[in-house]
Formats: sequence, C-alpha cells, structure tokens
Amino acid sequence: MICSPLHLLEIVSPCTGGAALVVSRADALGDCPQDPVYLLGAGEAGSHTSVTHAPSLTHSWVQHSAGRAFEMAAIDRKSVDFVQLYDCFPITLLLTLEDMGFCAKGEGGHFVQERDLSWQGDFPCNTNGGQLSFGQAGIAGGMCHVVEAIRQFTGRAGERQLSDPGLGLVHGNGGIMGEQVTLVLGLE
Amino acid sequence: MKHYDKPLPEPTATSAPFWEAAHRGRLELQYCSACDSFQYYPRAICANCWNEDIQWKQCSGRGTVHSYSICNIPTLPSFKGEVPYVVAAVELAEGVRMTTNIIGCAPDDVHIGMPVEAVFERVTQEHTLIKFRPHTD
Repeated sequence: MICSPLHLLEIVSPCTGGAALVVSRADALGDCPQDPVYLLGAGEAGSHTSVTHAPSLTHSWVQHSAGRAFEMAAIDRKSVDFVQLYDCFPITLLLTLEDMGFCAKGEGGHFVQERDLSWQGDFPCNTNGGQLSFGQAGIAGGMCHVVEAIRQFTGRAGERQLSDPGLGLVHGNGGIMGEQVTLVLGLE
Repeated sequence: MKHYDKPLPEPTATSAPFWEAAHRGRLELQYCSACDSFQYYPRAICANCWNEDIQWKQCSGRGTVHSYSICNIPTLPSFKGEVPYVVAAVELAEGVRMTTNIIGCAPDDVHIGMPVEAVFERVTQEHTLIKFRPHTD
C-alpha cells in the first residue's frame, strides 16, 4: 500500500517522453500524404483545483465535457468503436466510464470486469496499454491517448491494430479530477 | 526549536491573515456578509458573489473528516519519519473544507464523518500549521 487505498500497481509511474500531432483546418489539408482524422466533437469542463474542494468525490464533471463532445459530434456514446481514457489511477478510468454513462454510478468496476478491454475485445479501451502500463510523461501523458487514437484510425497501430475503426473517444483529465476534456474523433 | 525541513507556508498578501491568526492559535476564515458564506482557501474577493468587501472571522475549529488517505510512502523524503500519516479533507462547521493532517490517534482509527477539532502546531518561530485531532463532546 502506497497511500490508502492505492497499491503500487494502481499508481501511474512517472517517466519522460513526448507526444505531438499536427492540427489543421479541414479545408487547408492540401496534399497531406495521409488520410486525416477529423475532430468531430470536443467538450471541456472544470470543477475545482484541489481535490479537497471538489464538489463531489464520486461524481465528476466528465459528464459535462463528454455531454458537450457527444452533442457537438451528434453521436451516441454507444456508437464509438474504441475509447482512450486518461488513466493515472484505475479509479480515474472507472469514474470516467461511469460519468460518461457507459454504466451506472458505482458499477465501473463490474463494467470492466465483465468486458475484454483489449484491442481484440468487446470494449477496446486504451489499446496502447495506457499510462498505467507505460508511465506518465507529464503533460504528454494525456497526449499519448490522442496519438494512439490517430494511430488506430490511420492503420499504424501495428500488432494491436483495430479492424476498421470509424469513431473513437478520447478523454483527458487534469489536476485531480478537476479538469476534463473529451474528444470525439473519426474518419469522416 | 528543532530544525524543520518540510515545506512551509509562503503567505501572500491575501493569505497572510490566515497564517498570522494560526500563529496566534486561532482558525480564521474569510467571510462574505453580502452572500453570508465562508470561503477557504483565502482569495482576494468572494468566489461566490464577487464581493470585494470580505472580512476575517474566527471559527469554531470543529469539523468532520470528509475523506482521507493513509500515506505509507511519502512524496518528499522529509516526511519519511512521519509515516504512516493521514492526509485528510476536513469539512469545517462553517461549511468549507481544508486539506490537513489528522493527528492524535492511530491512522487506522480515522474514518469518514469523524468529528475533529483544530490543533495549532508551531513548527518554527514564525510558522504554525493547522492540523486536526479527534474531538469528543
């Protein structure tokens, strides 16, 4: 036990690294050598700085950022083919799933236990293993999920390549569950 | 006084009254009479109604444990001698929450909802930290 209730393998490991992607207006792609991935929806919500002042420890504002992203993209969460969710601790990912509406509050643990989260599974989640597998490179930690989504869409995910993903969901969280950003990405 | 090697408060013009009161053994919070609310941490204006005329008021120092964690592996080496220690969010009777430590009991005895009261721990000649201990009527 490091800090109750978190054990060693439930805590993201600090590491160094970087991540980058090129963002462009859709009408300014020119002769881009590869197919673009489109940003179809985005939502942001910020509720607190210190977790001590969080309006709730069990209900995050992921519901607002995700709600805005789904509305902008005009999609239902059930239509996404894979999700890349910020995962500094398992509870972060579980709360995110619950507050996005993938399952009822308090059911996040059961939800992931009953599903195969691998790239071949029925609910592909963090197909690159996520930060809990390879570490958290500071601010690049959140970017790794965007980069993985783009690799999946552009067929560059190697051995873990999903077959034909059409819609993907990326979620980043900053502070201590205080700042939430959700993106809906797709091929068209 | 023994050398203290842990981080110390660095008061700003806005937060200095809080730390000065703590050093005198008082828990004072900012109070806004316009919207009848307390706030913590200290801010230049009322975060609820943006009133600029806020006062400092002495508070009861009583509260309950809102949530907590028992730390076994400290973030900073200077806390090594303290483990296991309790980091808690205490909800004060005035309705605001503070990040603090629970002392004066075994870490395993701390629980959510536990009544606590402020303790003023003078750590240097100039600095006093506010921690909490179990309170029973």
